[in-house]
Amino acid sequence: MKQRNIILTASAIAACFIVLLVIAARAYDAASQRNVYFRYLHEALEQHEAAILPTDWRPAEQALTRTLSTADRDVIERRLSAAWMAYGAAQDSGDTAILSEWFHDVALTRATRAAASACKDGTRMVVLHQSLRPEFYHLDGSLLQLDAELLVLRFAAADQTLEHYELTRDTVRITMLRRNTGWYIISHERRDSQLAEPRPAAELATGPLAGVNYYPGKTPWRAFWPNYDAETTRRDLALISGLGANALRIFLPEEDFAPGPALAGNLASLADLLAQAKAQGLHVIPTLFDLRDTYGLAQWTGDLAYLDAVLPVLAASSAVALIDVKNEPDLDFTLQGRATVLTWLRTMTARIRQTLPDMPLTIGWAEAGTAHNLARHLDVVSYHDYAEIEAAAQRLERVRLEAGARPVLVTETGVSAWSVGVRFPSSPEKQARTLAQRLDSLAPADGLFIWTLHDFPEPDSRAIGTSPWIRGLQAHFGLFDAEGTPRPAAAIVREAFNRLTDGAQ
Amino acid sequence: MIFRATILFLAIGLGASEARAEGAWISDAFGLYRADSDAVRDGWSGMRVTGNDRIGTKPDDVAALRFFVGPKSFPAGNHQVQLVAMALDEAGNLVADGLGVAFAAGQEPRPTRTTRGGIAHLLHDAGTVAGDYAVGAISGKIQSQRATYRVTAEPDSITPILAPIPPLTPEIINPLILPDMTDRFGNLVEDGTGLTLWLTDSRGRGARLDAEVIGGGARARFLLRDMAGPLGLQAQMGPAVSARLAVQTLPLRMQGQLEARSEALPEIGAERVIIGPFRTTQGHLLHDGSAVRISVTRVGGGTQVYDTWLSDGHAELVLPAEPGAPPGLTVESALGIARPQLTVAKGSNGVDQ
Repeated sequence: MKQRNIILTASAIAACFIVLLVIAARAYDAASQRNVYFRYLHEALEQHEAAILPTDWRPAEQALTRTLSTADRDVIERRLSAAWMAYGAAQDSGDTAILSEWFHDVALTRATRAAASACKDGTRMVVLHQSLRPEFYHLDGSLLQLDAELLVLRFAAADQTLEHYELTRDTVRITMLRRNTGWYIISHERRDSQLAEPRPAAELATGPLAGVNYYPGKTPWRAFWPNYDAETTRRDLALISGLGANALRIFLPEEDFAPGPALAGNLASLADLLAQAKAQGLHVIPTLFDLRDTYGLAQWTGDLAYLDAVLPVLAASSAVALIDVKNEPDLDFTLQGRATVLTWLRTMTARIRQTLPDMPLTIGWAEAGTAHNLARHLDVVSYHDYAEIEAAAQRLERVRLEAGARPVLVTETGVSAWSVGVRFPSSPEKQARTLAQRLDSLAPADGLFIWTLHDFPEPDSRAIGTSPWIRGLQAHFGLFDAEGTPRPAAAIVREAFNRLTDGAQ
Repeated sequence: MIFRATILFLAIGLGASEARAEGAWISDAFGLYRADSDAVRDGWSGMRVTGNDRIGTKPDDVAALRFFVGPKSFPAGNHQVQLVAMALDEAGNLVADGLGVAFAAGQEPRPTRTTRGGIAHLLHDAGTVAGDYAVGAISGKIQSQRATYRVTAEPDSITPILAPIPPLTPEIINPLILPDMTDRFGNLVEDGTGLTLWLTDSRGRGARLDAEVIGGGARARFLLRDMAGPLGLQAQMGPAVSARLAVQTLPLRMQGQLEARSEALPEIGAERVIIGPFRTTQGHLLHDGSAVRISVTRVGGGTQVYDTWLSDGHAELVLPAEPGAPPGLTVESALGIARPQLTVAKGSNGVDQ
């Protein structure tokens, strides 16, 4: 009886503690909110520089009566980019009046009609790349005709369904007239069109992959690349190798690898990491577009510029085993619309494949239930497994069935070791036990990646939010704690990795 | 006869069986639309794709010619103007390649060019005769609107010339009119063409005038101010400078007769002689400080010369009072030499002295 009373008292104390913790968490959340007052609307809006379509110029086939100067080309590129941006906005809003700023004559009539129709029907046309060749340039510089190869996406999205998707390389004839206020498209005619979505043809040649998701312990998420330290990388890669791993998964945030002042330094850091991984015999899965949460058409030009910047570095390293196009995009389905997210993913996948046709591609779905999406456009199917542990094996089996012959990787799984006391909600020992069970269930996968190598004393609020509870859990997923001491789970993982990689031999 | 040719291509290379399954969307130059939903878009020429089918729509016959000519204005000589016709069908499509377009540019027979990308063009020698030229294009029964270009005199071959001009009058704005100027082809210089006139005097003072060509000759206006002749005049147009031309100037003249009067100063046994006003023919007083030399000649006596200057348009002298007839005065100033008659003002006692 006395023992029962003690248990009841302990339970009451624990319950009170949890209640207090929840109250404290809510208070912290409230305190974290901040009100910012702006005098004018434009101060509150994020400022974007006018994006310019990726453009290349081909030489004219016949002599022009007037030389198209570099300055002329620059103006034309910008004008066309702005025209197609405006066309995208007109399709989104149905406000076609803005088109007269860029289109005139027959082209304006047609653009207006088509944009209104697109808005009504839920279709969109986006120009993603332009390759221009001057065909005719008037002696007085007032009339220009271009033969253009455009990479064009046309799609029809109805809420959650992608009804139609057409990525083509169009041969078009663009005629432009220079008026007092600049160049205007007066005619735009499509002369030919070829599908431009390469089919998956790359194979994962590495065999089973056993690895961890990697950020340095003190500089995770957005702090990683701006504070990249080669020595830290060397030590951490040695830790990864010591776990019996043969791979690591890294993240390349768009804001760190988009054209800008920090790009060159970050690309050099990326090249260093890949070189060190190669030297350690580790494969790398770079995950693109990390921390990107919008799929608006206005951002796509910037996305392509990001790919143009980062892909050459990845292509130059044989350490790169495959590319993860996007981390957990299914989490954006509700807010952004499934069709919109899938359209973007399919297009970026195609664009990457156009540049790196032999590189296996995957998408790191947050849940096994969404891993079937776009599977036929990918070389490898991958998902993250944090759901109920008892069904882990069944989930993997179902994904395998859906994937067909494609390898299936579980690119994230892990357990937090966080304890607020009395081994609640977890503990290092519980982490080891649970992880062992989960890894056993997922053993048939073609690859397993643990979240994560390190604890993160300061997890990035943009990635995981500000809830103290969540932050507490996320800070303690490491196989190594904040002091660098291996947790019991590290030994479990080492065994699992050895089984995975030995089984392949 | 208007006809539209629609060519249905078999699927070659598209291989988009999945597209067929996604429904009857048609893609064209400006996006997607449902089959049978928009007959107007069906008429846009070029490539449309639906499922595995590629539909090429050819443009109709020419229905309109948009005409462009340029440059719009350029100098006579070795220059070309480009005549451009953009041929469109009824729906606004660029017409097919190979359509013949004749250009009306004052030549017989009219040169013909064929379209490529809907555009036919001709480089035309603009010739050496200045003037406005109307040009256009014709294809079948379709005629473009008329467009014009202008050939002007060739400025590089124009050297300004000067012809003698009448003497310049002080105090008024003198018109300077130069003779007609022509280029090497005999074209009169365009109205509105600017040139510069340089005027210098013997003391090294200079003036720069902006002249404008009107009716072939340059015109400017000039106020002589304090420049004294003879002047040197040169005209400059671009790097070309005319020969120097000597231009005479007229002197300032006195308006009417110069007046002189004297007032007795009995307290000091003297008289004050006041001469003036020194007024020009335009009614302006000579400025303060202007030098004046006055020669005073007494009856039976000698002549004395006084140098003074003007104040408020008048010169003053104080002379010893002497009985007898008033002295004779000879006054030299910027207005020339004058011999005013000295009148004696009444004294304070009310009688003439």
